Amino acid sequence: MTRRTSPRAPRSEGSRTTLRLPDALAVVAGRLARELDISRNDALLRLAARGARLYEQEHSIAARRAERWATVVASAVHTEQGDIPSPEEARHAILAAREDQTDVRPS
Amino acid sequence: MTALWDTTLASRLHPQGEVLDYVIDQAAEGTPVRVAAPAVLEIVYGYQRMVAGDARYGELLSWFTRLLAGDAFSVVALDGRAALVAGRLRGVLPHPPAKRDRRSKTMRQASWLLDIQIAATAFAAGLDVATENRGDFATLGRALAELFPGAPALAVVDGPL
Repeated sequence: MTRRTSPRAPRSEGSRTTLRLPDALAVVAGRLARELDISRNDALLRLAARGARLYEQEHSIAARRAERWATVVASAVHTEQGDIPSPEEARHAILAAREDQTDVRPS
Repeated sequence: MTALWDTTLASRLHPQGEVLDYVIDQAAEGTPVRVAAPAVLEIVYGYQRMVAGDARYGELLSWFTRLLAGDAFSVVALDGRAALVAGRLRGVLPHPPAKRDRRSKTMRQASWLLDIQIAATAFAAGLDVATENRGDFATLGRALAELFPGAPALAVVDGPL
């Protein structure tokens, strides 16, 4: 009588750990294991590795986003006197830019 | 892929093209392609203006609408931060770089404003820009570096295909 055994996970480096596997994750890992004919542990490692890659990418984007924004905020101009244009001047600057929507390059 | 697609790349999306396969694969991998909201505007504008004279564009518009509604790709919005960056960028580069171009000056100006919005959206979102129009976006990247010295640079990269 032959007994079907699940494939064993390949030997790997790293620390051992024990964790409780949520049912939903166990289902996915089991499906991946069957599809690839690998052990469920190996499937879990693949899923975790993919998740870690995604996490690292998102983390790196978020860090760059924050660093760029900090630079934008720090680039705000402050004058010694703290003078600002009057409300009329400020509004004119904005609306004049709309009027100026010319396609002719200034000479 | 940490780059934001501009209009030159996103405009290659088509039901019969390999770009669609790539986009669907990326979505299935959990790393959807990111497209700048102003690029979506340009794509839809391009189709919509053709609809009256050619009904096939209506079909294409429907397909694109379903694709977007189905979250086949991720649209990155021009948010408040990006709008602030875009305004500063436009202030220092109000006109597109001079070069031979068959388009009218008005249309070049309109495209330039959208490119500014795309560059600012990528910058504020912490992304790079993927484009076939590397020259103009390199100009915008240099202007960003001058406006915001020390910030991680806006890299301009080729598309994946």
